[in-house]
Amino acid sequence: MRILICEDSVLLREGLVRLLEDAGHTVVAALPDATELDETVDARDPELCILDVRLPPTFVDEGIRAALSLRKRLPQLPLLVLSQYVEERYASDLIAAQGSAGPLGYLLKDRVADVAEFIESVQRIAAGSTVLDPEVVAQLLTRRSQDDRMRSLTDRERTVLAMIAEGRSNQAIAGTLFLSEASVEKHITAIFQKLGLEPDESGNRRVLAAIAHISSTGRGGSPAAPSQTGTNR
Amino acid sequence: MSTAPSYSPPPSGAAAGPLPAAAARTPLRLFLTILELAALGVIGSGLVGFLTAWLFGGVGLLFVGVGIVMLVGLVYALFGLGWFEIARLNGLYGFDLPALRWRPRERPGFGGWLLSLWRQAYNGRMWRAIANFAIACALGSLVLRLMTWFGWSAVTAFAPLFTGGDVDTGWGTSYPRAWAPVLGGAGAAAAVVGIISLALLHRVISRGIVATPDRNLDLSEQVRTTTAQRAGAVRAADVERTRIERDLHDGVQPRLVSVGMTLGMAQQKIDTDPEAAKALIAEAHTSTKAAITELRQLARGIHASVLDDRGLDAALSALAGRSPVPVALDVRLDGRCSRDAEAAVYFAIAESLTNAAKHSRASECRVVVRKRDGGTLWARVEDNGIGGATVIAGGGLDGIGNRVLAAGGTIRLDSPVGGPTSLEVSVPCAS
Repeated sequence: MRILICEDSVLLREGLVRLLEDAGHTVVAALPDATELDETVDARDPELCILDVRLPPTFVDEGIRAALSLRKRLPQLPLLVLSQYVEERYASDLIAAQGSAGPLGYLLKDRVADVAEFIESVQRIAAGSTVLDPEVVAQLLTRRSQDDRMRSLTDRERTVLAMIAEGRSNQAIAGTLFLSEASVEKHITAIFQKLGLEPDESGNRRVLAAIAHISSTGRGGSPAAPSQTGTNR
Repeated sequence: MSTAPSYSPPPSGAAAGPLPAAAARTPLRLFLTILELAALGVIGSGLVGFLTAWLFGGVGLLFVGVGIVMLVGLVYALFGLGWFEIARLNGLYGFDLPALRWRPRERPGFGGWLLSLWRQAYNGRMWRAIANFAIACALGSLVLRLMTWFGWSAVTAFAPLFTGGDVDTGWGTSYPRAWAPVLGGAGAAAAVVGIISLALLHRVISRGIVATPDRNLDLSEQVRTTTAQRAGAVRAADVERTRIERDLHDGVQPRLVSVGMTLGMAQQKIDTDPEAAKALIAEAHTSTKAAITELRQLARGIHASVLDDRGLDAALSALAGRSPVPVALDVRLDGRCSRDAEAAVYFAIAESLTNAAKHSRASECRVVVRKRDGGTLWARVEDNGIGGATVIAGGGLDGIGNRVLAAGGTIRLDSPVGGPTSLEVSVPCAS
């Protein structure tokens, strides 16, 4: 796979290059900042972009802004955003720009230490999935926990929802929770019903629907009136 | 460029050192005082009368509208007079008083101007300078009288040369001719003594009225300084926290993530390619040690424990030992100062040395630390580098500036382009 990296720390940039190339991928470009990102993307035509949130010159959210502008220009380009800490707002911004359902990843930087899992996430994103860091999902769920419809979920259903948002397959969820795939399906149907989502969504679209729903009530295909409780802070 | 951040409160009024006292004793100074007093005696009553007329005129015409303009003008005139008086005293006695300054505008626009005008109108320091001027004028007219008396006495002393018989006193009495030289000499001597006494009295009065620190001024100055100190402390803490967060996120965290990554790769390879795994582990090992060093340096940047344990002298020795630029250390301290004072001075020196090593291209630095009389911890850092250091908001120098200010101290940076750079810090020992 052809990958582009945009990361300011030399140590991590070179580490990522080595890690990805070791896993058999090609790093077509490794940039220290986002100034030449657009040109480089056009010239090298990567199949996936990995972006750090904090980039020079201000080290605030250059990476997010670069990701948003890439998303606008090339909606289908898979993006993986790496963050030093969970910033639910950034994730929400990215998800909100997710109208065209392009593949997206938002992971904590620490996750690269679990090499096999990280590589797998990269491959899943490139294949069209959306992968959110469990911590991001947890934050999103916490912020929505006052939502009436979220409260109507059982604990088990909430766990399943979190795992859907992380981009896991039914099979993976079943394996992790020691359930049969059939009962996972049953939970999912219940969740989607309670949240007012289309039950027959599958794969990435399902994940997006779930994320969009928990990150912003009233979006995510629910025709119901937006809940008034605890949605705006 | 030379930057002196205005952290320092104005020097207090009573800062008259040994120099003015010595200067006042010189005959020249005395002579000048007498001349000035005489001059004030000539113009003074006229001037004071004129200003009084101006005041009453302004008040009287207040209802016509012209009065307000006159009163506004009067405030400026009074300010000018007060400014002149203080400048005159500084010139004459070397009091080293801060010049009279117009009250700062606290609000913009016309309202702000009016407010500053009003504040100036009842500014105590200005009025005391004016009072001193009026007193000087009164003393001056006395000096003029004594000068006239001196003239008459001198004439009387030589009266026998041009009068026969008794000498007329002018009050209908007379005395024998032979007494005239004695009386005239005594009168002239008394006049001279009187004039000199008045000149000396003028100095004492001026010192008492103008050169004593104004309590109210001091208080409001203190309030302002305290407010600035508090703001500085808050800002210093804020800048410091941001710096620590940056250092952690940009220095230690990537390093640890990279160690994790390297070990993760080693873990994957350990069965298939043990040699490569070994190399990766060795790399992670080296990187871990670097991370430990980085953490230690970071922790030391936050708090120097040797400073608490052994005091400034020992902490500075350690600091100088670590500096890449050779440091000549000259510390003379007896006893300890407060923790805040020591820390402020320590970090100011540490920042200066860091800057010297990073930016100044200096080949050596010199650090002098003294405990000065009056319980002030004073330090000066000089390098022989290229200068051009400036205070950037949120930067290192700003941070230490705020820290020093928070400790009640003052800081002065002098760093012209082309060098050299020097930084002077003084902090009250007990702060």
